[in-house]
Amino acid sequence: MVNDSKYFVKCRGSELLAEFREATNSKKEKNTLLKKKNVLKKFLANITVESTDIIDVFTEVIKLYKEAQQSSLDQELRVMIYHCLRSTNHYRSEDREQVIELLLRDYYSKSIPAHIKGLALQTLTSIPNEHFIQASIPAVKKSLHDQDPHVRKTGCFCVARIYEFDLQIGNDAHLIDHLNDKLDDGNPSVVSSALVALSDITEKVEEFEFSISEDHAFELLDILPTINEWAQASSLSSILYFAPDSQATACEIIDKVLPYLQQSNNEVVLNALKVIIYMSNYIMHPEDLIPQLPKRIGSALVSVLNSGPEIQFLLLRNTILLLLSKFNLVSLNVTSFFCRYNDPIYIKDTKLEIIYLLANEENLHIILEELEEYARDSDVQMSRKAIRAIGNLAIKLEDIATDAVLVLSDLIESKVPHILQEVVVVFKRIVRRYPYLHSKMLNNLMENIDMIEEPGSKLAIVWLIGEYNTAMEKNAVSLLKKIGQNFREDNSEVQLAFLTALIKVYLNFSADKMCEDLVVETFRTATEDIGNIDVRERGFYYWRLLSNRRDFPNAIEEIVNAKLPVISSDPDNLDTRVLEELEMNIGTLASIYLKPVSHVFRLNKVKELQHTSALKREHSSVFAAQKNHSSKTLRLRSSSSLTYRNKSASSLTPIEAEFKFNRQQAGQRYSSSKADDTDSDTMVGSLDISGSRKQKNSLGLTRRMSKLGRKLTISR
Amino acid sequence: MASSIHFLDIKGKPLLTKDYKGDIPVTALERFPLLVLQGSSDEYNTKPVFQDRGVSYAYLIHNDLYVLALARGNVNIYSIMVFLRRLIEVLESYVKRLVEESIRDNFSIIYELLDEMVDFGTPQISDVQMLKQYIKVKHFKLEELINPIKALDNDQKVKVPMALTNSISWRSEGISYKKNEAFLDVVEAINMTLTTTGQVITSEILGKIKIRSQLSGMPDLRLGINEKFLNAGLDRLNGGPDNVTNDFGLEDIKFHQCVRLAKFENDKIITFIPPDGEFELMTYRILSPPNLVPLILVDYKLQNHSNTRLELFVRLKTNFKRRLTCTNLELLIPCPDDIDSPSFQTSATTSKCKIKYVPEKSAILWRFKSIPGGKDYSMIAELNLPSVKLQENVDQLKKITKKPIKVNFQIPYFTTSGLQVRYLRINEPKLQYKSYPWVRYVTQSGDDYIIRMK
Repeated sequence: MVNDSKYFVKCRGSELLAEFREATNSKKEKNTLLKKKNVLKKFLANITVESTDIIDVFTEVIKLYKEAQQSSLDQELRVMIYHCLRSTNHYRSEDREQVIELLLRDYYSKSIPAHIKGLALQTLTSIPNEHFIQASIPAVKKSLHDQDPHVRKTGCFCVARIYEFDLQIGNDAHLIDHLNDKLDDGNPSVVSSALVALSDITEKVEEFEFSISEDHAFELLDILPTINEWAQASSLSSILYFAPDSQATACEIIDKVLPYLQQSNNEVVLNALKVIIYMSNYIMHPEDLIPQLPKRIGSALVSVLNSGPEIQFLLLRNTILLLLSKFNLVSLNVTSFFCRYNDPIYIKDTKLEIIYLLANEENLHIILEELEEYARDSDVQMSRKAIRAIGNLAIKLEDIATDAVLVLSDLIESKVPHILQEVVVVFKRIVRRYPYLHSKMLNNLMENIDMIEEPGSKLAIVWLIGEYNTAMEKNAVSLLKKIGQNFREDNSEVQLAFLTALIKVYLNFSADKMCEDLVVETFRTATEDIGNIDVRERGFYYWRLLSNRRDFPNAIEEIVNAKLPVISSDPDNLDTRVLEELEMNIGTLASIYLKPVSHVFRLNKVKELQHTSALKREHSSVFAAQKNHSSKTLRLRSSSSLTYRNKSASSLTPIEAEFKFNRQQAGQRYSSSKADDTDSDTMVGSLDISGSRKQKNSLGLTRRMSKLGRKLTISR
Repeated sequence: MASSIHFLDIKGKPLLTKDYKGDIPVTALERFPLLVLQGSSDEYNTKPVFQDRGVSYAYLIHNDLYVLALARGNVNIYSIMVFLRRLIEVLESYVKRLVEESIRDNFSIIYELLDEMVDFGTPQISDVQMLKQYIKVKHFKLEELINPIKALDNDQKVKVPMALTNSISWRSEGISYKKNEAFLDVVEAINMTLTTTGQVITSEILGKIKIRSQLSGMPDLRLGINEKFLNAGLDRLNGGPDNVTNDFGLEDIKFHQCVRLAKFENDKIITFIPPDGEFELMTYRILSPPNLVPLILVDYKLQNHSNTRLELFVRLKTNFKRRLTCTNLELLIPCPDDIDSPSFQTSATTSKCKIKYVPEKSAILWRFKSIPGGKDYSMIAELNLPSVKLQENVDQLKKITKKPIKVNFQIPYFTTSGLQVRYLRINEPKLQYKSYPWVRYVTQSGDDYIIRMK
């Protein structure tokens, strides 16, 4: 079959060059178009397979473009040319000028449809080269005021791209102001694109801060039904830039967002969830105020479990986060998280974690049954993890401990080696937590002592023998002897444990000749043959204890049989502040790793809950104090707010958004009366500091912006 | 927000690359196969998201492809993953089956789509019907070769795309059909875990209503569903007390973006302006449906003759009304990897069913083309195991007794959840045409209808 894949043949630059020439010089108009497309495809294919000498051919592409611009109206050809242009940034300077000129001509052309105009601009800003970027700026500015919403939308992303490329270029051109104006565009899709672009820029640039006023937040919620699903998702996410100052407002927003949990696009659902969780921080006992909330959140989470494994995995990680931070707000049925036979192991693993978190007195028996099933799984990994989970549950919930031990002893009946290894380790931990349970399984385990091979399990069983040497049916000494056959080869952890166990046994069996022999032999090996310093040291230590036994008969008892502290379950929870931060980052990588953003990504900004009078949390005053402190010392913040009116036909109420930013270098200050009202705290704080530092060049400027119909002061 | 999207073959060789931000070094892509391989050796636990040298990788596997997105910083990885999934759906509507071959064959159209669907790494649009309006389905067709000039003409007729910024972004204006029809499919997939004694361990129904609309203009549709079902759904949403009402066990309902969600929540009505063509209007999930009895019951016994010969007894019962018929019933019964000369006997006449050994799945497949309700058949399979590897046989046996039997089936004209479509009203305010809605029901097995062995 002949089709596009035929182009994936590596060819030399010279060959391509010839083909280009042929295509451009051919006489018959219609045939050439096809030829041109084909040669372009070949060119693209060769770029994909990374042929090296392709660069020389570039001039030909540009020639073709030039010609196409004059004669052909074919869109596909043009789109392909754009693509070729974008695929490299190795331009010679004269080529560069040409390309810029051609692209700009496309953009300014009146006969070209909006969609292609957008692409031309996109192409111009996508080539990572300062000349291209600089050249694009007037066009980008103009695009933001184009009559076609598609072009305006593209323009918004172009601004983001320019800032991504070089912050300084963007700042010098004041692009951010233009972009900010787009928040009041009449077309909802443009507004949402502007939001995405703005939040992307502010995310990266330290000096910029982005916040949304209450009116604007509600306006955003109102436009949701009229924009497409991806825009819905990003707009929902932007609501997080708004901090409600009353409980009622937060409730109202939750009410408006709730229906979006029923959207079929998982991304919309998760962002709706993010807003709800965020807003619930501003409500006292949200689960009482909005009683359906926990169920709605729960079923929204569970509904995603029918998507592909990759999406499931990410959602499950976020479920863990929610269970850690907002347990009361998430009502889940544990059976939804039972593993399916063909789940990938990373899903099973995460589900086990969730099952662990969801376990309580009521459901623990179903859970235990299910875990036992997994423990018998033919997949070794799964089986081990399940056994470990049983152990963790037993340590977490005392009610289950006895039953768990019964399950474990059933499991060792199977005589499957890997089950046994894991059970020993788990049982040791359970006994450390509930010493009274030791009798339940000790003897069963000792029956199978021959099968225990892995260091971890060996260590556990040696410890058990030492600890309960008199409580066993079998003779502890012979057991130790059996397991200590390979003492020299064991790893040092096991050796250490063995020494300790042996000395414990010896205290009870000192009359036994076999025991004495074992002690002598083992300690000789430990102190003479074994290289590990710790093992030697411990050997000498016990040796000295034994030799001074007559002088201090009780001391050795006290030291060796000292009571061990009871262990407890690992703390489930992360630090509250970390959880708060992660909540605001639901869906992002940090929420998957469950680590604070700053630990994983040094350059990302830290998000934190904004302190308003409605914020409900314990110790909120402490947090607030810390926050104020940091904003005074660390940031020379000058806040500015551009408030604007929305001119969209649908909105009768004027909406306002604030976009605050600060430019340290320039020392510019934008401020408005609105900002003074809502944000007076930080305003005053930052005024003092920056005022004193920048006093020399401070001069007042006032500018009227009649377009927005309101006053705006700019001071420097 | 992804910095770049890549398609790679199963060995990790790049097939197609689309860079949106240019902030990822080339080496990051080169390292991908290495990292996946490394992950897979490390307790074969390759997570779909990982990080290396400051670059985050998110990928999924589709047929013989890796679809990979690279990003920097704390990006919304969930959004990226959901988008990748959607991207595959969109591409498959263009090229039928997305495999290595079809990527190469259609690379220029895929580039075009990637340009259109994403800007600056942010998903813009993923409605197939809308995309098809200006990125035409022009993947390779033979006629282009035969008559290039004609193909060329077609190309030039590509419509100027309508603004994607309309308030109804999923439907364009000016659609026209001679005959206005809407086809409604109610499909319910059942997932169930059963024991060999017929005891239900877990069960769930995943239902969906699919619509294929061939309607002119901007029709406004209203779907009527039996009130009981709808009420149950709403009660569930509003967290009514657990024990009351909800006869259905309805857990969740999801809607396509065209449905007016607030309207549903406040007034209990499902209204929407549908996209043109096929789409999923609504999905719902029912956990442990109270009225659902297992539709297919399977009993199983295994007899082991000194680890060299096995006898499997399987009994199958179709547990639904006699007037219904189940089609394509399949039982996949696990067996050891390496078996010799299997022989089968069954109580069903051989014309009705087929039994065969499927070595690549290590299973025996028992298959009925169609089978009515209330039937009861049994089957005996005799399998010989290689006698040289006794220990291996023992291990294998242990393994197969842990694997469940998988059942696939389909029962048309039947649903189990209790959902009924009462009406589909179609109203196009300007055109006022006559229209014909059609409804079909089908119940089928989900991915996970299994019989656990004890």
